[in-house]
Amino acid sequence: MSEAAIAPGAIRMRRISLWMLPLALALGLFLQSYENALEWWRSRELFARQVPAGTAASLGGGEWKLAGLRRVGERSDGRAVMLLDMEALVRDPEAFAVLPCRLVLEASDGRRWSPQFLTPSEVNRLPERRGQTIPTCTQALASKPRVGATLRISEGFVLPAGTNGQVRPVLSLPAGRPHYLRFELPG
Amino acid sequence: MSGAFAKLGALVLAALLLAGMQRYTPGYAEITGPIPLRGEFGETLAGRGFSVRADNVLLAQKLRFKAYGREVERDTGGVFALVIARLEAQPASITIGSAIWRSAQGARFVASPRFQGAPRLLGTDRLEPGLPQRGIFIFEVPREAVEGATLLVAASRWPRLDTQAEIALPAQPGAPAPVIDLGELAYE
Repeated sequence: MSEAAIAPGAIRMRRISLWMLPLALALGLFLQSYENALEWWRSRELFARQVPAGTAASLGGGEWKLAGLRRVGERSDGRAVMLLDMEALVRDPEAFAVLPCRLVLEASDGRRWSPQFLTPSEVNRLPERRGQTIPTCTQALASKPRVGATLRISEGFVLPAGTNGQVRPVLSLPAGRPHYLRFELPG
Repeated sequence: MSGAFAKLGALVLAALLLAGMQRYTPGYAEITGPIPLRGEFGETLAGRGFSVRADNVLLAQKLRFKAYGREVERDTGGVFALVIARLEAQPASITIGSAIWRSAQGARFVASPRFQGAPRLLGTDRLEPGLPQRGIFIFEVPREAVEGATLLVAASRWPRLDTQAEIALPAQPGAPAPVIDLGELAYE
């Protein structure tokens, strides 16, 4: 069969099909992977919002405010124990209750310290903490508070003694990502 | 005639290409498996979430230690292999959930669970950035698994797309000591 036997309309259809192929492949790739891309977008901390000292910022269904960050002890092996206090005003209970909470201390070089699972003994020995049970961030979220509730949240950290004053609290919540908060310290 | 041969050649080439792709394309588990970070004994390996350095390997027939206020002694039908190592978290807090002794024959032995409460046991406490931990991994292995072994360290037992440090241990670590007291071991 010679080339002349092919109708001009068929040649046009072949060309259109050829051009449509990359589009079809791109569409297939999108349909197959957009859920993963969305999941990646929601799980990453991409956009930091700086929170000036003494002010509150909105994230994940709550208004968050830094109440204090101080060193409460230093161990003989060069470790310092720090106590972080936060306040949260619940605006949207459903978004607020989504776990887990990532509340860490971050140094300017990018190093991050997670809170201790068990509250350090130096924190429990503080006179103002005796007889009190202040929830951690995850415990506060899991308590499913009502709208308008104000929660006091506290976390203990162990980090090198020299990093005192060089770390800032960083808060990231599933309902707030890819945005997260970085709190400025007073002074 | 030559056109027919060309068509046949193209067909054979395509078939070979497809067969090769089918034979050599890595599987999903391989593609998403651990990312190996190979190094030598005494060398610091810096992975995605931690750094590790293995400094010494000791063998023992019995181990003695104090746990929860009691003296404990453990023995074995094989040999206890102790790796003294240094771990550090970088850049964030991390728990090292997996240490494996891989023998030259390919057998894998996870760190022994018979030493809970022993001093300086690595992998039990979370690592914090700037606060390196120096301690031991303890393995219980057959005598034939000692020579030419490799230490594998990772954040989880089955690392997926994450660092797995692979440190070639000394080919012949020496004769096992009759007993080692973990409280008197020189870790530094």
